[in-house]
Amino acid sequence: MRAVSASLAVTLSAWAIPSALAQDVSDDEKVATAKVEAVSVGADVSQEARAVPDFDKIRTPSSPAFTLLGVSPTQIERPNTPKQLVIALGTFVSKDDLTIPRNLALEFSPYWIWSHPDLSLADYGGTDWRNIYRNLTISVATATGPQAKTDAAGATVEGSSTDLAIGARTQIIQGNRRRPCAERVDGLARKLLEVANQTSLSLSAEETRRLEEPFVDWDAVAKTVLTDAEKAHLESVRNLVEKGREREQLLEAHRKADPGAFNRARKAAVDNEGLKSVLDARKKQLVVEAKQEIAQLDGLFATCAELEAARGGFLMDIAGASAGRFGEGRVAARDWLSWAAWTNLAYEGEGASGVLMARYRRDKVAGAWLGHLDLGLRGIVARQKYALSLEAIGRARVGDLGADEDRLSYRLALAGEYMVSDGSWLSVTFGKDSGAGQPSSLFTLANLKWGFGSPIVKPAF
Amino acid sequence: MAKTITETKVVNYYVRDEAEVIARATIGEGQEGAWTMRLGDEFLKGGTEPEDVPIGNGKTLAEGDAHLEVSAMVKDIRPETDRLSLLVELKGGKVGSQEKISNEGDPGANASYSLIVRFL
Repeated sequence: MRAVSASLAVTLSAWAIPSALAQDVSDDEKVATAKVEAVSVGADVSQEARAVPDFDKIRTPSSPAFTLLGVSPTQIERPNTPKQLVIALGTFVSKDDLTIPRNLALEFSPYWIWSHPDLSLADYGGTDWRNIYRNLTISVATATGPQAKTDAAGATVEGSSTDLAIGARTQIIQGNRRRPCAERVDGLARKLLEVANQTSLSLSAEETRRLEEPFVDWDAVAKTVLTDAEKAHLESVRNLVEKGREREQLLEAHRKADPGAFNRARKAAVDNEGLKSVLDARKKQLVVEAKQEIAQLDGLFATCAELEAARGGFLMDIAGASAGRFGEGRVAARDWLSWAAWTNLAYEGEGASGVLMARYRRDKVAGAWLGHLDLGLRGIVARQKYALSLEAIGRARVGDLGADEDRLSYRLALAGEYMVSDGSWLSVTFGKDSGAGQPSSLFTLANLKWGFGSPIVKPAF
Repeated sequence: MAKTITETKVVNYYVRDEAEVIARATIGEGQEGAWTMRLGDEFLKGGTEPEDVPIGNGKTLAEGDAHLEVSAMVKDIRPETDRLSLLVELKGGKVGSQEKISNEGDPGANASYSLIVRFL
């Protein structure tokens, strides 16, 4: 049977956007920024809102802030320590004031900023509500461009503005347990244990005692095990050689009388740092000697990386982002630009998969909010010799529309393929597209295509 | 071959004489790896997931020469972090204890750790 890794996602989302930021903007600033929007943003957003989107464009984005702003940064800062995060966020501070940095692309997971030494692979790979916050990612993006604005005298002058978007994404239903590489690759668990074993210091009691010997503070041992009378006697001995010999004899007597207590005192008097330096060198040598086994281990993990690692079962993602415009990069000169929310509900099974997706987006155009809700459905059934795919996308537009504009539009597409011979597939696609203002029947817009070649139904979601 | 970080840590653990000492090793940060436990050169247990391992009577351990060695081989498989951690929890002492070895590696790096627990 052909493996199917497509997912079915349904999107049900609600995402609240705080309005405090917009309310803080003065009326004058609102007027000024609204004029700019009409010039630079309005046309693109209006045109985009008229068309039914591609199915892939409404899926929950991995970086919602980048998607909302329409940027594809080539370099993304990904801080993963508190210090790196503080440095990255430091770009929002200029002197003693807040500012909006130019062309910033930042993505981080709050949970992973800090260390989690107690988080085992089984805990993280399982289906656990705590993975909702463990999987949370925050994305921040800015884009700077020219901006025409009105000065105090009413004249139009050239300036610049920076758009800032902040987004968040997480997975709230995680499907089946993710199997570790040790379960998926034959011999990997055994090799891991072998290497852990081979690189163990594995010190016998005798060897331990020998290694510790140079680091024992015998004064400290004597202080612990000798009686007050013995200590007083040693104090009275003036000759240092004689004193050392007598102390040795006393300690030996205590060792014979109570080896356990003596050993305890001796162990407590070992300088652990000194011992560590010796063991570190030995450990490094063991790792060098295990070089070949470690290389084999790397090879097994590489094999694991090539295997399908996606979780099966039900999966649900949610994401949201909002964007604002900042004249001259100043926080005080700000206005809302747009916001959006996404969600997917998917089912991924052996030989069949499906995804339901939803996206709601609102954009502020010429001072007025326009919005659209997109719903998408894709189902795939795949077998060794054939595959079928059904895709449906609908859009509902919200806000004041022109007289010739449709509030609802949709697209349907059905694709099928059959393996005629090894490597050659007969593919058939059939679809209907209901454009704005041009209602038409399924049959008149039917589009039948035939082709031979590689499979066209790509089951991956 | 991916870079391998090595680290050894030596700690003292003050036991209660009458208590049974138990150790539990966790390969942290959601990373993949395996651990082994030895008392001196005697192999006790190994695994990939956390597990309570009985080490022995407190008094016997404190008065003997053998130390507990928890050795781990850790592999960075997480895109979320490159930290490689071994956490060892100890019970049966005057106070509970958690000992950690953690390092930031490169993507795909390995770590070979040994934690030596000296019982007192």
